[in-house]
Amino acid sequence: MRRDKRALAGILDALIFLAIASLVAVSLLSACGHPSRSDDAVGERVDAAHAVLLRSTVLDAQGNSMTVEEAFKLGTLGPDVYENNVTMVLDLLLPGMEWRWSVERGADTWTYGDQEVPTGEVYCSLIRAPLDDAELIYRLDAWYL
Amino acid sequence: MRRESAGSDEACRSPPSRRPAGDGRGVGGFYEAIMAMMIVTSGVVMLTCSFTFLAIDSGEGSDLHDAGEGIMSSVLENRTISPEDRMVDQRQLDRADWTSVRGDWTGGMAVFLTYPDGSSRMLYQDEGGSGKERCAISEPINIVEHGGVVIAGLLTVWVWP
Repeated sequence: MRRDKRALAGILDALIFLAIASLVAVSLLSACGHPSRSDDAVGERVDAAHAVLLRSTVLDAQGNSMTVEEAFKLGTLGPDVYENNVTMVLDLLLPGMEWRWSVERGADTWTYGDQEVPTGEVYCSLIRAPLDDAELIYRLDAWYL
Repeated sequence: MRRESAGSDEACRSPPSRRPAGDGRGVGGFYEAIMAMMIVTSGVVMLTCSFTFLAIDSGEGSDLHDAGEGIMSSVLENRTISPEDRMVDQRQLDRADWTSVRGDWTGGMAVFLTYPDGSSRMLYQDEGGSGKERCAISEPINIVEHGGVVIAGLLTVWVWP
């Protein structure tokens, strides 16, 4: 009976030790998962990439250049025309990140990149532009793999 | 007869016990295993912590990183190179005075542009410095080309001591 008690005490000690060690390791890893990137810096980076994307120009059917922002405002071109441009730009400007860019214009929504935004840490840049009696919403979600 | 009996006892004796002296209840081996497990677990935790802190030491806040940030700020705030915020004029790049953006930095530095198609263009390179450690800072920018075409690009500054 005494021997059983000592064995159980040993197992209990070991379990407590393992639990504490696991908690320390997990808390350290979760706190420092992306240690080199502060949230503010990444948020600024995503905002900057979004602004740069909207200011870049595309050509319309007549060969005139207009910014991506204007193109969606005017709605002169089909959204599929921009897909290659948007993908190349955001892949370049957000290295190591996955992204989803969407444009909402009234009841219409166009989405580029990944269709699903994962749960967890996601950085979002939202730009609203007035459009007659409606509003145009550009939304960029970006997250690390 | 007696001798045979003694030999028989010796033959039937169980093999020598590995139990430590005084460990009448046979729990020593169990505690040795627990101790060994604790030591191994401690080692794993220390290794994890080491990797974690090595990852933390990414250079952010170091002199090299600060120098890179300073040069990048100088480039983006130079109105000859960048007439508007994050807007670089391609036509002005060849005429820019790149030595003015390096400030007090005496090490080596390189500045180049990367375009969405993957191509890149070296804007300035100074082979000064002999250190092997390098730091890169990059920022998204727009590049104004001929004909009012504006493209996206990545401006990167490399610095080394």
